[in-house]
Amino acid sequence: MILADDKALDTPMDYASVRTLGADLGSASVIVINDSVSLDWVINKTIHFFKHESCGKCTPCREGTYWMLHLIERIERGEATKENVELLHQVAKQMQNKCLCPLGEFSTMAVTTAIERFPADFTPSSAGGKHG
Amino acid sequence: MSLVEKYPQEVKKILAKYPPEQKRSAVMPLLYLSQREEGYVTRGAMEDIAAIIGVTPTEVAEIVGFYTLYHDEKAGKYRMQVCTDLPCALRGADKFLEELCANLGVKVGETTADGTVTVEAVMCLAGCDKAPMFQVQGPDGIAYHENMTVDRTMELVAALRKSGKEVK
Amino acid sequence: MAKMVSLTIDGRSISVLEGTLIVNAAKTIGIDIPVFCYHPKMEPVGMCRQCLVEVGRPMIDRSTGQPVMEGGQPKIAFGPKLETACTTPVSEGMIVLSQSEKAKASQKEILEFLLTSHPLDCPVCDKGGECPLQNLTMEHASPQSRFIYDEKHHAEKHVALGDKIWLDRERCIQCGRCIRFQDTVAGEPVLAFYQRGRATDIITNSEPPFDSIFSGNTTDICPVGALTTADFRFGARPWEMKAAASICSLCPVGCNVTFNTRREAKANGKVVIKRALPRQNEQVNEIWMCDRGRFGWHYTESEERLAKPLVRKNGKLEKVSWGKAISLAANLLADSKKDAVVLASGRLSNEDLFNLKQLADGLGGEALLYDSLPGGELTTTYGVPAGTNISDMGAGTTIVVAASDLYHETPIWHLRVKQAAERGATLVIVNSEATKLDKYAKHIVRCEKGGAAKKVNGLVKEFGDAISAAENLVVFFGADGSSALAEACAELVKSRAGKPNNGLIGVWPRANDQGALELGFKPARDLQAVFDRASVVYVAGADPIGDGAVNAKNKKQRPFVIVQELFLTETASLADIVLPAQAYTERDGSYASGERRVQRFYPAVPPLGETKADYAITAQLAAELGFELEGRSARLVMDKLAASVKSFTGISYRKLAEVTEQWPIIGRGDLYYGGTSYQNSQGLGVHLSLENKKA
Repeated sequence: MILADDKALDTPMDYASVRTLGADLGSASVIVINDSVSLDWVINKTIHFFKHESCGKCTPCREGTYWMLHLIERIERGEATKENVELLHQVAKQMQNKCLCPLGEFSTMAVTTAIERFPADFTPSSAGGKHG
Repeated sequence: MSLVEKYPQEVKKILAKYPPEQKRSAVMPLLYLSQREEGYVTRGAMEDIAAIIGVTPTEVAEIVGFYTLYHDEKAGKYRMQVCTDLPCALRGADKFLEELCANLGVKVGETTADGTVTVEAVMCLAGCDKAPMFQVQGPDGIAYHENMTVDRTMELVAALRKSGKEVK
Repeated sequence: MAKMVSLTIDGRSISVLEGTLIVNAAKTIGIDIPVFCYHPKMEPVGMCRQCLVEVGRPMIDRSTGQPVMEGGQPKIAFGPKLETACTTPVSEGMIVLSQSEKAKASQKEILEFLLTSHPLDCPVCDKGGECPLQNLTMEHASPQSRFIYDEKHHAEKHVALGDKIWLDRERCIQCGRCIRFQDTVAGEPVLAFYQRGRATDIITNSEPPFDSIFSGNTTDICPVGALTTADFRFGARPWEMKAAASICSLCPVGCNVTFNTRREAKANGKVVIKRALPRQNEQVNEIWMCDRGRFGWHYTESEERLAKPLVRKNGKLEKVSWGKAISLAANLLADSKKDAVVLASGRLSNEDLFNLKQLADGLGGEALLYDSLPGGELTTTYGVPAGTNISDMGAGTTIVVAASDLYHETPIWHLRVKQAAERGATLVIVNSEATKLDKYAKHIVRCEKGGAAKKVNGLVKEFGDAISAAENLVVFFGADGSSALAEACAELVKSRAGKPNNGLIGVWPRANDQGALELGFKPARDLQAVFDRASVVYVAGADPIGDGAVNAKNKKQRPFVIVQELFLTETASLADIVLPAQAYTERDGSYASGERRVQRFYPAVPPLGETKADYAITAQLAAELGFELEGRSARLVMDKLAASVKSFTGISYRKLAEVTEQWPIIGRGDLYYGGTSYQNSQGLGVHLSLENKKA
């Protein structure tokens, strides 16, 4: 769940309140990043994490995290088209509400909101953009 | 030598933690024990453990395959496992890993020519605020090394090479 | 009274037993919710997510505990997520939608996910044509893939799991059915997942690999072509093959099988058997068969099969016509009369054995059963009656297994007894050696070889109520050296004779010893003496010389030997007349299983050369000897048999072909539900009655 506005910063950090923002609490649930970091690089990191940790039991997470990783790597290398970015968004959405456990569900949330709120970071011109 | 022959006291201690009719629950600490010397779990060790806890070697292999803690192939004496997940990466872990590898003359996942160190990139080690950081997995167990620089890491490697023991 | 639950699936109201899973409830009204990892014979795991459906339940007011009403009806709340139909039991007032937009989209999307990794192997994959993944893709998925081909996951494609099963890791969809089958059904956890996520692979660490006599069943239930048999690999396409119902001939379980056959150019235009698959009979073998039976039919197609009658001339066996052979054999038998001995084995069908017995009786000679269990005739009085079904045995039933290793001798009985023990049956094992069944036993009694009878005699004393007060008691007995074991076992069940799920079961060495005994054959004792005193021995389906039971060297007292066989066995090679018989795959017939169920088998391939069915040969011989035996067809022989043998009363080929609907539903168009075992439409068999029972 990628947020960038003051409303978010003023929200009390409890489950109910955070959920009104369309996000959720969990481990490593708050990471503060400045605007020198490109979101496609960030999403690559998060997808990589979830793909590595996926247990492999359920189809959407096992296949979806693998698919998302390939798509984001393509995006980060600057080889992706607009359709590829749209596809990444769709794959993430397609995994939602179908997984056996929350790991699969959570793997999708940063992906969808990052693409929705920071589309500029996913264009070819942003590839190889600054990161940490 | 079988696991029971090599570490009779430790095996006994481990088994004592679990109900006698649920010996199979001891599989994880037994696997960790069997990995100590060689740095990986041999096929023979899996069969040993299977016999001790009363399951099949296939069922033991299942555990080895699932967890990243257990290795099924021999590597360097010490595994330097560097976290490159998002928070660590925001603090320069990627660059750290790249430079470390260049200094050691290996690619990520490879072992130095003298067999002392294998450099691996791993997932979150929960040391986010002290990145760049890594854990060293060796014959003496696992140790964290936090707030590291490439220079200090190279010193550590030198020490490992010389004394064969860890330096904190 | 079992509680019933009412719910609505896709707009249709039904009422099912409490605890029924949504996927099974839907099945009862013909709604096939697609599944991969779910299998009706195993616990559900909800892994593949193919069966996701929309589930709505009546809302309950938390403060009052009452349903919230809206317009006179309970208000239904649908969950935020879809739910797996395979893990969700039905509940009162539930609404299930498997055809809604959301559910259909989900079915399509899960398949898309699976197909991103699944290789385009259909043209070279054995499963093509009987593949659940293919069927469901055609039914629910998009024909176009959005995945970039070059990024597809790759894995090993030709991994040998032992010498019987091949694994293709790329095709595997990680449904876990094979692993769960081995773990929970077979009780031999020799398969497992290795690694995790997209790298998950099937492995085996047993020595030898995939060490299980039930391994072939995993190829039936695998929903893709990941697990295939080495025996059949690249054999034929499913639509090219015809199916013939049969009964496995290798052991007394009597597994129902289906042979798939094809006419082949490379077999010179002959019709050959390509493979054997289980046929569903929930009372005998459910939907399983063991590897021995699955791969053990090849002998029927051996090049060494006898195709023409042989007669000894000047010390050598020469091919002759049937007319000549029969006439010579008849002469020998006519001369010997009551000094003739008919020696038959349980490899033969009821019809064959009936005619042989009739012949022996007509001559006034003996009819002996080769290499069976001494005292076995006791099963005709104390065997298990109709209504017996191991699947019904659980708590309250005691099962005794004496001097027998079910796993090696009758594997499917091992499987079913194991499951009975897991359902609560008390298992008592009396054996000189450890067996794989031991770990399910409540009591294990060790004895010396040949000492089982003594231990069985002491069971009531030692275990008291577990034996005498058990609601049901079944005793399996094997070879212990003398009839003392059969007698001891009969003692245990005497008072229960005639009650379903009670009685004696012989672990015979062959398929139809039960039939032979019911027809009046006596187990042979001291075959050497028999051969020494008889003037003619008519051997059918047995090889006493090859087995070492008879020494052929004694030149003084040597009977004339007529052998009716499939191969030139040692006995046959020393015989005077050799008559070539048809294999069971080439004709009709019936076997009586060790549980006393008569089951029919049908011809799968045309007969070889000039072979004739055993019963027909015997009938021809009888005709030459001047008395009439039915030999025109197996059906007609059975009619005669049923009219004269009390325990077979009422049995006919029509009755043997009757079927009733079985659960789980297997092998119909809905292949993805149960696997490739065949639906049984050719007969469930009929139980023999216990006519000899003494109250």
